Amino acid sequence: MTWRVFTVSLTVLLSLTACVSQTPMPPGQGMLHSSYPIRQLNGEPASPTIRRGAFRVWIPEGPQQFTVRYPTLSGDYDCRFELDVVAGQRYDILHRTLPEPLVVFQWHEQTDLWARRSDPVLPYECEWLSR
Amino acid sequence: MRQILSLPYILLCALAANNAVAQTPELPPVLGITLADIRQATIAFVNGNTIPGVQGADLHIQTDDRQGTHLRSSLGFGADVTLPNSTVGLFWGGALISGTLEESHWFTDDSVPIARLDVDREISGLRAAAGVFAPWNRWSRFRLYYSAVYSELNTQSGLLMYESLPQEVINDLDAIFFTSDVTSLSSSLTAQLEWFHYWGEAKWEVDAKYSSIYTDTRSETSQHLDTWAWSDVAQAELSVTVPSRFRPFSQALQVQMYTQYSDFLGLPKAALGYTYYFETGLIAEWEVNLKPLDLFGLRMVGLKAGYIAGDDVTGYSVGLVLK
Repeated sequence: MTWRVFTVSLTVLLSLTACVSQTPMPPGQGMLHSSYPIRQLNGEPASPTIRRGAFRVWIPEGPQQFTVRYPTLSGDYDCRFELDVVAGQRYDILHRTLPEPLVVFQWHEQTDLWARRSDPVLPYECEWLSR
Repeated sequence: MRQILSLPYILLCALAANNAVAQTPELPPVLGITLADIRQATIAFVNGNTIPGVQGADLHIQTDDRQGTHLRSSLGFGADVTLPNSTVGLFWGGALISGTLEESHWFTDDSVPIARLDVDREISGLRAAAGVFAPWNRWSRFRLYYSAVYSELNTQSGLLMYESLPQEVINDLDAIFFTSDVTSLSSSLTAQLEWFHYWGEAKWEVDAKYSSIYTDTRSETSQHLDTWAWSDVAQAELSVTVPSRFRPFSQALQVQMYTQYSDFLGLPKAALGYTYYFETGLIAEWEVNLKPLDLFGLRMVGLKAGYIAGDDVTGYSVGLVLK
């Protein structure tokens, strides 16, 4: 049946085009990769770039503080993190149904076909900003 | 005589062949079913396997005049995609669906058995979904999405007549076996509300879903199955998830207890043999946090076991759960 051929072909095509890749990083820097706006880095306004629908900002190695905003229809949450950044490490900031709305994971490229996230870190506080 | 809804395609095609007319004639009144009943049952079976939210299960229907086994399975995914600088995001998903049905219907006239109809069905389909989502606050999220389902249904029916039927009817209706093929295209709009909250370490979740479905069927072998219908389905689930101290394969293990209610609103019971059911069970899930192909995240892998009970339907659901 033609729809089965289409389904298999689409699956193969997606598999060939969607491969995991590691972004090269400057020496002594890690990277924050976030689905949500990165507002502040160590108390200063952050200037993230947007690539493939995600916010990215380089972050120096060592103990760092940063703020990420989780937007909702009724208001926003500014979640503040403390993180000991390792050079060359990518950190993914995601939403999870946890006691706090955002969480930071370490991202590890396993093979060209899949990556793994580990060592979740919750924010030490999330401030509610009503609309 | 008790009216029984069933799918005797064989009768219709046999009558059509004998009469050599374009229109499919009505069934003999003694059986108590009509072409409209057959169309309704066909669409109900398509929707019962393909609509969003319907998961794999092994169902058993048992009444005084009906007995059947309905197996359905699906392999699918759904993913929320956040957009930069936007509260509203995108949702997309898809699924491969399959199902089988084996059932027997007994026709009676004043408690005297007239005939038995055996029906075997197979359905396979492909569903794609796209829509939007938005969090209301940190505890709740609303999702609205459109789904399109293409499916192909094959039915084989056999009618066994008993001697008590009037002779003139028996002359027309002998034991006949017939195969019909139907293609179906369904469009549905689903509104979904998710809410969760923590009390201590336990996470309580509510997931409510309402789908309105338009189904259009076509058949080259059975003209009376060129039809369409609107249907509505409501589902609600309550679950509680608690962490365990076990870490198999060095990954955190959680246990979720859930109760889910599914209601095929406005559907006559005879179309599927049931109109609602509850499913209660357990899911043991491991947190894996993988991202295959950089397309979507795989948060949990779990094993599920659930028991199903409804109006004249029982069953179980066992399988792998990917979140």
